[in-house]
Parts: sequence; structure tokens; C-alpha cells
Amino acid sequence: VKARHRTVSENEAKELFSELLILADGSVLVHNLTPTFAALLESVDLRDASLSARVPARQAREAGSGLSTGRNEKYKTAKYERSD
Amino acid sequence: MLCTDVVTTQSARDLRPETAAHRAQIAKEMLRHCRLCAYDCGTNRFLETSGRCHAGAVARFFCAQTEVTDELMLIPAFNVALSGCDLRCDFCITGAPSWNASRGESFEPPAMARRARRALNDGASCVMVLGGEPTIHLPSVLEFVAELPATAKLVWKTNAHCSEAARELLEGIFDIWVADFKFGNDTCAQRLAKVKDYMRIVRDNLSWGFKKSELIVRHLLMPGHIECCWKPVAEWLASELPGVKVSLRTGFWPAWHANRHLELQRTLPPAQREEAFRLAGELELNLIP
Repeated sequence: VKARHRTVSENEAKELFSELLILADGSVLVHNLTPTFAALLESVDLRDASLSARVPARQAREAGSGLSTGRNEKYKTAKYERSD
Repeated sequence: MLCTDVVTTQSARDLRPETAAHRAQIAKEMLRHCRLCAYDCGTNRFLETSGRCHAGAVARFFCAQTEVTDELMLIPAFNVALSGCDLRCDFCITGAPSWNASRGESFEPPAMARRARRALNDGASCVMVLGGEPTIHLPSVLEFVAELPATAKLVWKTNAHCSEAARELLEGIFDIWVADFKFGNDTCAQRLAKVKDYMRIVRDNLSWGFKKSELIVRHLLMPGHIECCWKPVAEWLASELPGVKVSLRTGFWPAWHANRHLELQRTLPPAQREEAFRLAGELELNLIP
């Protein structure tokens, strides 16, 4: 699945993209994850801590608290990884 | 020595744009007898594209956007991905533009620098230059850096297969190096990426990067390559680069020509993932999320 979304900034059209691989067991692998797409994925409640840490609003909160939620063995329904 | 103007102090950092501009001219001249990557092929890239990377003298890019996929300490990062690479990894997640330097759009350093500055103003924490492999486009990269504010945090994402000449030109330019250590032996490197003498070259560059810059070593766990690749990589890192930040990537997916190799026709089995992390724990590697 290649998700494309367009933004327009300062009269310049830019095409952004993220790629998803959804596995039969419900795991989701993501490549080129944009903040917008991270927020979208979180909104469908995949309950993945490694994703939560990448959503901009959460990042700001966690930067303040010093917390890192990069790994949470309780919720492994999705794995967000850059595969290069 | 090509460069003696090592950028390490704050005042030197203030001069980074000028330093980069100067080195860009040196790098551009090197394209006449290219030895930017470790293949040292000597191709005149102004005239031909017969080198291993098949790149000419003009850089192109296939992606430039703010992303949150990289290590937490780097995101959100404005990522600029340049087309073309000197390696030929069959499992490359960006195979089409990485194997074909003519893909994508023309890379114009001043225009891209404007986009990067906007991204930084919008909250990106750094600018990451990647590929493909950005080393093969060093002249354009340095021109790009020359257009960026000296205060911008810059990240160099590389396959660590550069030449000594290239790394001299890179010294002090990027704040952080994110370097792949993909294979744990030369046989796998040759079979999966068609590269010779991989271990010696990459180890040498990682050792250099460890001394000269903040370094993050990435290893993408490949199914069926825990014993032959991850284990020797992990043991070497523990032994030779103690305390180095290690990013263990678990999201392998069978992209590009991965189906040429039976063991790469799948994602990483959970048991192999667990074994890889167990080994990292045993060796007390400094894993970062």
C-alpha cells in the first residue's frame, strides 16, 4: 500500500508518501512515515507504543518528561520500521 | 590530505557553510576521476555513467519530506533521499531509485535548502541526507550544506562504503552519522549486495566515524541472517566501538529483488527478533529506539 497525500506550501505543490505492509497477523510495517500519516495511523488505534512515540504531539510531551516509549512488549500489534 | 580545515570547534562550525562550499569544488573536481566510494573506479562522471553507481555528474532526488520513521533522537527529520547507490542490495526498500541514479527530480541545492529551512522552521529537528547512497553525490551535498544555516543539525545517513578521500571531505560537516552495518561477513555481502571486501571497508569507516563524529550504527535484521550477520556485527561493535549507539531495525520486508533469495522472501520471524535482542543484551550493546 502506498499512501500519497499532497500539501501545498508557499505555492509549491509537494507530494509526500508513506508505504505500508500489512501482514496477515495484523502487524503493520511502515516506510517513509510522515507525521501526518503517523497521526492517521494512531487515530485508528493500532495500540503500538513505537508509533505513539512518533506522533508529533506525543513527541513534544515525552521530550519534556524524558520518557521513551520506543518498545512496549505488551502491544506488538504493529511494528513501525524504516527498512533501509 | 585533501582537507586540513577540520570543523570541530564552535567557530569552525560557524564556518561550515564556507567550508562546505570550498570542499564542494574539490569534490566536483574529483568527479573527473571518481573515487568517492570504495570501488575507486576512476570514471569520468562528466562524460560517462559506467561506474558501479551509474551516476553522472548531476544529482537527482526521489524523496524530500519530513518523516518520523528514524531513531527517536532524530525525529522529526527532514529527509532528502538522493537517487543512485554504489551497492546493489537485492532487498533494498527503495530499489528502483537507488539502483537508477537517473530516477527522480533534479537536485538543486539552493531550492532544496529553502525547503529544508522551511521544514526546520516548521519543527523538524534535523536535516538528514540519505539515498540511495549520498556519498556518490558529494559535490551536490556539500553545495546543499553550504546553503544551510550553520546552526542546523545535519545527519549523514550512509552505507559506510565511502572512500578515504570522501570521508576527508565529510569530516566535521555532519553532526551525526547514521551508518549501516548490513552484513556480518563478506560472503553474504557478495551474495546479497554484490560487494567485495565489505567487512574491511565498512569496519574501517565505522571506526573512523566513531572517532570523528557522533555515530549511530544501524543493522537491519534480515530473516535467516542472525548467526551469520547480526552476531558478528554485534560482537565487533561490542569489542571495537564500545558504547556506540546501535539501532537494531526489525522491519525487514521482502522488497525489490529479495525474492531472488529464499530466506529473504518473508518478514523477520518473531523468534529471530527475540534472539537478536537477546544477543544485544548479552553483549550490553547501547541500543537506541
